[in-house]
Amino acid sequence: MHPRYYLDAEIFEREQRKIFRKVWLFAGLKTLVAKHNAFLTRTIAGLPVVIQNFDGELRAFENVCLHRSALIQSEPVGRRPLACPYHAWRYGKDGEVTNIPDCERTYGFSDAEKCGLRLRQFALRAVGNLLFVHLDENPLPLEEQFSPAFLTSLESSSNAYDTEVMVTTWRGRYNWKLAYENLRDANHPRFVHSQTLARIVNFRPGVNTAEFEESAQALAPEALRQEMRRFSYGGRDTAIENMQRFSWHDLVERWGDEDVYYNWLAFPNLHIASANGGHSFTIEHHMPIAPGVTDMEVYRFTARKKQPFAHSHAVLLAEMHGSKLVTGEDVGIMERVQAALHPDAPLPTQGAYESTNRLVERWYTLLMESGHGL
Amino acid sequence: MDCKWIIGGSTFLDLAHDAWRRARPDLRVEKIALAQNAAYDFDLEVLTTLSPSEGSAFVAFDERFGNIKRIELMAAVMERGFKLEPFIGPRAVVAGGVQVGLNAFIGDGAIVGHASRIDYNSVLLPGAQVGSGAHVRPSCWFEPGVTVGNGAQVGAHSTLRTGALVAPGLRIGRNCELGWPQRYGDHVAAGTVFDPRYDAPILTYG
Repeated sequence: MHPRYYLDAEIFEREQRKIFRKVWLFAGLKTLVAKHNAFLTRTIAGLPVVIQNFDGELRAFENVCLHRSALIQSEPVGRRPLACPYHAWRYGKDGEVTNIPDCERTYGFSDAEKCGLRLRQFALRAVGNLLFVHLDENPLPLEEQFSPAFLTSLESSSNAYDTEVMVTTWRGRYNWKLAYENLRDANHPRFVHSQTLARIVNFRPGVNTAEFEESAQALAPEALRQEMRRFSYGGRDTAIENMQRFSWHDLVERWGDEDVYYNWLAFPNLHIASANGGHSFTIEHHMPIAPGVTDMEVYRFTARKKQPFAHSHAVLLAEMHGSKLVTGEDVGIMERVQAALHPDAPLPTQGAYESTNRLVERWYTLLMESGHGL
Repeated sequence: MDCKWIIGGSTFLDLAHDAWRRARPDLRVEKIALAQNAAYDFDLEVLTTLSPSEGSAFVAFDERFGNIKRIELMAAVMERGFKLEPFIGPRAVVAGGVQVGLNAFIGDGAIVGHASRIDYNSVLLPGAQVGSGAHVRPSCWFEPGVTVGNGAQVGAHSTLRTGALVAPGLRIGRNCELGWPQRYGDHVAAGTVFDPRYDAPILTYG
């Protein structure tokens, strides 16, 4: 795509408005908020969001107190009532204010005024263990954004996740779109990951001629929403020959029974992979911060443990370091691409194997450059 | 002359072997290096050639795999009937009332304050400092230059790297790694890893 799409602050703001606030976005794992009063917080499309458990019911709200705009919950994951630490305003499961200490005497609010105080609520859906939020007050149906087959695969695989989860965040100096272009590029692993992932998995790029030809044709504006569904896909990717075995593999309920690399891409902010045939998983949750800055929240967990074992933390940490190595190679190359971009930089020369990236480009430019929306 | 077998791997095996050899000239100190296979399991065959009645052992392996491999090896050696003792360097400064567990290592130049506990299999490399009344739980690993304040508690299998300064009274959960050279002034939840290669701490839930 033209370099301006990776550099321009106004375009970045337009993306936030036309894409990230108009689609379902991954927000976290259900197992992290499994108990009453458990919560998780994330900044999604620039908005602080809290997902809180109320006696088993999950709700998503803007994480900003209606009194003085303090963050209501401040930890990324925790367990406490939805109450602001500043002046102890407390909120219920519909976002209503349930208690303001000394309300009548100190604030003088009428009952009507109190009833009108309600946190901004967001649509929330669980797909297996994966939580998605939609920031628009009229969310599109989740089933329009993701195909039934994709949702079924996500649900089945994520229900196999274990509850012990390791999470960290890496800040990268690259535009978020580079991450998805790279993830759709099966030709890069043998060069970028020649000493790591490519020694385990033999990725080979395929050419879809029909898709390639289609990418050169114009997209009708009314097809924008439907077209987006094609950009999320996943499941079985590539066979792994001579997959390395570790003793802990026998201690988890493996998802599936094939020695394959699993790969799920939920556009525009979620990538899930299993590089060991369903024994463990990694999630990469991309959060655009600025045109040239993307935070990637990385999760690591095994498939559900048959029973707890003493070295599970060490297993996850070793896996996390593995992710750091492989994904670090991706980040390194994306940062090099971003660093080379300038407004007059040459346009990319994409080949036939990059037909999906070309379809995304077609969709993206129509969405961004026209008055049409999703 | 009794034997002292220093069993394990990594550079810590060399360090521990040298420390024992210099500290105990009355013993025949032998280094037993164990191989590991592709799954990192130790080849323990060599242990069958040693007789527990002819000496005692010390298990030396570094902090890899969250200090788990060292404790696995310790258990395997004990199962075979070998007696284990702690090592306290002759130039370590260990105050009165300090309890030191089996197979713990307190290197030369390390300082341990009054009434502290260093539990089994924990390693304080030369120059590490632990204040008074502190509790270092099993199988921890402290690099040179670590300072742990009075009354602090460090959870099992935790690794503290050079430059970590733990405030007095702090509680560090199990399986933590304090690898950012800084003062730690807040309690650290179990499983939290501060690795200098990462932009943010690695947190563990569940």
